[in-house]
Amino acid sequence: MSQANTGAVNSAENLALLDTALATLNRIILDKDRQLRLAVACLLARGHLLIEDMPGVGKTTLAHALARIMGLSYQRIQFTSDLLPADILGASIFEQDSQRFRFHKGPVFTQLMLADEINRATPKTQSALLEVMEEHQVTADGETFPLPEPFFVVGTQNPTSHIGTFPLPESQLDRFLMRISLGFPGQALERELLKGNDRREMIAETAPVLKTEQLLALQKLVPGIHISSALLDYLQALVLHTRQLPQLAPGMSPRAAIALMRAAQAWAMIHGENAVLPEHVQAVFPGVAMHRMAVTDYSSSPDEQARAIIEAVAIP
Amino acid sequence: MSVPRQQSAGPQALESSAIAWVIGALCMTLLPHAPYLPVWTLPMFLLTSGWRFWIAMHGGELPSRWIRLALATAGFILVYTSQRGINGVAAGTTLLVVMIGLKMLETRTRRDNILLLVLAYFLILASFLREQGPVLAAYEALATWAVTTSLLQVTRHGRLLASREALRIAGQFMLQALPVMLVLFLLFPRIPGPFWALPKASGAGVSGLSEEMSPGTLAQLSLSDEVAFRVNFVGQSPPTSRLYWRGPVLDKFDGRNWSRSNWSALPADMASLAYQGPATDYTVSLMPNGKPWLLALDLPSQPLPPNARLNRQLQLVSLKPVNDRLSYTLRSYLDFQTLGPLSKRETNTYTYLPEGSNPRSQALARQMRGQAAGNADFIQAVLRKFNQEPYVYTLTPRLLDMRHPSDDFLFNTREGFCEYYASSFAVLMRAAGIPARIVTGYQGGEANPFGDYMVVRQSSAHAWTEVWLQGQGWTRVDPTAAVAPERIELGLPDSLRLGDPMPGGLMRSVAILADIRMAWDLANARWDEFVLGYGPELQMDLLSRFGLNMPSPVQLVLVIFALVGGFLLLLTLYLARHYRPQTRDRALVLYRRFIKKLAKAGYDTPMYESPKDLANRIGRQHPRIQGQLNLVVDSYLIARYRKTDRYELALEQLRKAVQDFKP
Repeated sequence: MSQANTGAVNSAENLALLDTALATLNRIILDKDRQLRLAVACLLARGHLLIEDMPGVGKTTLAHALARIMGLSYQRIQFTSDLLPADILGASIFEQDSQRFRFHKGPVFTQLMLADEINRATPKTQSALLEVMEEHQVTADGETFPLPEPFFVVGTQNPTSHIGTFPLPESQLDRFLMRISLGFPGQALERELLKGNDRREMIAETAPVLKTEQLLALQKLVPGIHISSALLDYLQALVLHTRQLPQLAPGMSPRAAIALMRAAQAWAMIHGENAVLPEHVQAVFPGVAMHRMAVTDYSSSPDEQARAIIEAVAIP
Repeated sequence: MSVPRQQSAGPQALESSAIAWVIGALCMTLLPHAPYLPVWTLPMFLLTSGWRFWIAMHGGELPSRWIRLALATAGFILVYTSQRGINGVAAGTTLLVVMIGLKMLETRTRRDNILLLVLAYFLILASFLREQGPVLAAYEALATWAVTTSLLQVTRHGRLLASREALRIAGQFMLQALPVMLVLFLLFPRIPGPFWALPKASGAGVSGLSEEMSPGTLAQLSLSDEVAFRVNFVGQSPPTSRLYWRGPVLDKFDGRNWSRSNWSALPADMASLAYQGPATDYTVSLMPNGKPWLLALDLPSQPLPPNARLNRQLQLVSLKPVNDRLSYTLRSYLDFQTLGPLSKRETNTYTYLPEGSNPRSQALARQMRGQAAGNADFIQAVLRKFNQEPYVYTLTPRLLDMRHPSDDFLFNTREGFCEYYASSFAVLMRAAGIPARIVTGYQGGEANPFGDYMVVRQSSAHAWTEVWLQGQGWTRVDPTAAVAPERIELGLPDSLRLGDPMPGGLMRSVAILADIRMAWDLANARWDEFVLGYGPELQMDLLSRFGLNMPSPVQLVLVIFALVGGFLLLLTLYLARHYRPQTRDRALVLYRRFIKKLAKAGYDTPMYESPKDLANRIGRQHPRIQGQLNLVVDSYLIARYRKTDRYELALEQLRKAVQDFKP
């Protein structure tokens, strides 16, 4: 394992590093190459990831495996309706010995935090989390405690139709760079699972592929991936189209457009490109765009709708 | 396709705002027709369009085919029975409006909306079949704007434009069409006669003149402010008191009613006319009056306008009824004499009074004639009587006892307007054996200070008397002048007394309003002259000023093509210059050539597919061209998407790859 090369934009070493990481992930979670790549791209673009799916399809496993392979410290918080903001952020506690309050850091002080079933918590707790996702720091008693770098939240969410949930509005979903869903495991994985090969054990046995400094260096490289004006034309055409569709009113925000660009850069990077190409935008578009818009049409899945939007926009 | 496109088949697919635009545009175009339609038509239209709008707003089903069929049949029968058929402007418009209303109920798609708006354009056109005034033209220009805006809105994919923006764009369309319109208006080969000449409904054309006159039955004097005709004098116009515009002559009297005798059918004996004094030259622009009457200043001389002649009673008549604006130039002499004796039959006609009618008048006439030295003296005596005894000029006299109206007027009521005086005067003359007849026409006129012309309105209609005197021939005597000299000196409008209804109401009492009225009349006159009156003569006149002498219709059409084509070319050049994309990416041009080659060879090349995906997909299916595809796409990506300092090289490679590419 070599140091991430910060000189060349996308060196062979970096590419090899990412390839190894992805290959390792693919060994633990089978048949989900696209979702794994999106998750890694999301991490590289310094965004947070929302996984929306049924219970029991491996959301937790993905988060845990990602943390392990990327060499990140890992915390899991199970969100419940009685979870309080202090349970995530930490609290000031009076210490008998020193006769003063001391801030006890909560589980959020980690590099990869799994916020499990985020839509079970009350809006108050949700917004506390979303705030810290944005700020990368916790403020208590006038004192500011920075979170470790990198800081990456993987939120999971059950489909909103499930009982006992507080669905996040689009304005809060916006804080997540991407939303993906895993779907049912492939036949191969399901067979493996049935044969009793426990994923958790596998994760514990897997060695980290990246060091924290390497990951940080890779993250720094993402904004340097070249974007030509031709590509910006395409990106804008795509965004403009979402704004003209009545069923998606009001369409993608400027922030969403920036997110689409960052995600496409990260996607290009893990595919060994040093420039963003239209297919990179197309690949990340469903994950980046759809959860930010008020979808009023439930007759088809968000991915299918995203596909239709892509097919409606000519590449200029 | 998972994302529904804008249009699905359901009736609610049309947005309510688009429907509202259509209904609004239709209402605007219907408005000018409203006064001519049966009263139930508009409520019915509002009902059906309201129904359609409600469905658009709240959902629900459009009425079924059978209901619509029943409504359409009922509508047709209603129109057919109320209009007695479906021919003619009125019935045709009614049917059109009713069917547009019903069409609202089956408006499902964008196409239906477009159809309705095309019908709205047609309604605009149809409104000019009735009237062609400048106000209507201005209104219909606005309506055209509204319909064009609606058309713009309903043909949009996706959300409608903001109203202001839509109006702006539609206005721009109309302005761009303006030069083409002007070229077509000025140059399209004109056919003689107005374009709008349709068979007029009978009785069309309002006239203060009629073929009959029965003083005392109704206050028949026309108070209408409508223009009868306009006059342009060459040089100074004669004083108002001398402006007698001669119309039909009424000479047949049955004791109550004056009408025209058969003498009017005979031509005048031009040799018997002796013109004296200075000539007056002028041009009359006559409004349609539905009768073959050309108004002329007493008395016109040769040459007469084409298709016109003087009849035996010296009225200028044309061969056809005047159903369109007509302009003619005349020379008249205000002083003239008719020579020669009256024939026996003429004398009989002009002295006839029914036995026993108006006995007191007849007795009075005989008594006064007996006291007078001669005929002239007798006439003066009668005029003095009118002038000195309490006779009153009023536009609203009491009705007369129709058994002997002249008796009632002369001895009881003693109030009336020109007809009353002319009629009674003629009765008195005839009773004394003097040939007399009543001449109707117009007296006076208003000079327009803005336009150097004179307007004569229907309210200036007048009746006076002519008596035949030995040695002098027919002599005009206007008994009204004896009663109300100001009526003749000043013209009717200025002479009305307090309490009399005034034509034009208060208008005339305020100087500024009077000016506005005159300016407005000038606008109307110019409109009539240059827009509606733009016929073959004016066209040829205009073209000769541009060096085109009597071009044939084919030449005109060629000129139109040249001008319109030139205009469009200029417009195209302008747009091409200002709307060119900012950078013409050479790589893109080459790539499009490549795509065209692929498409020509039968490959599917969707516009949304990224170059690499395209190369991979086609390459997988056709490994033979895989290498070529990659060559093109790789160099294209370098030139267009990658960061490169060797752009020209990549471009050159791309050019070569595309050139060599053979799918």
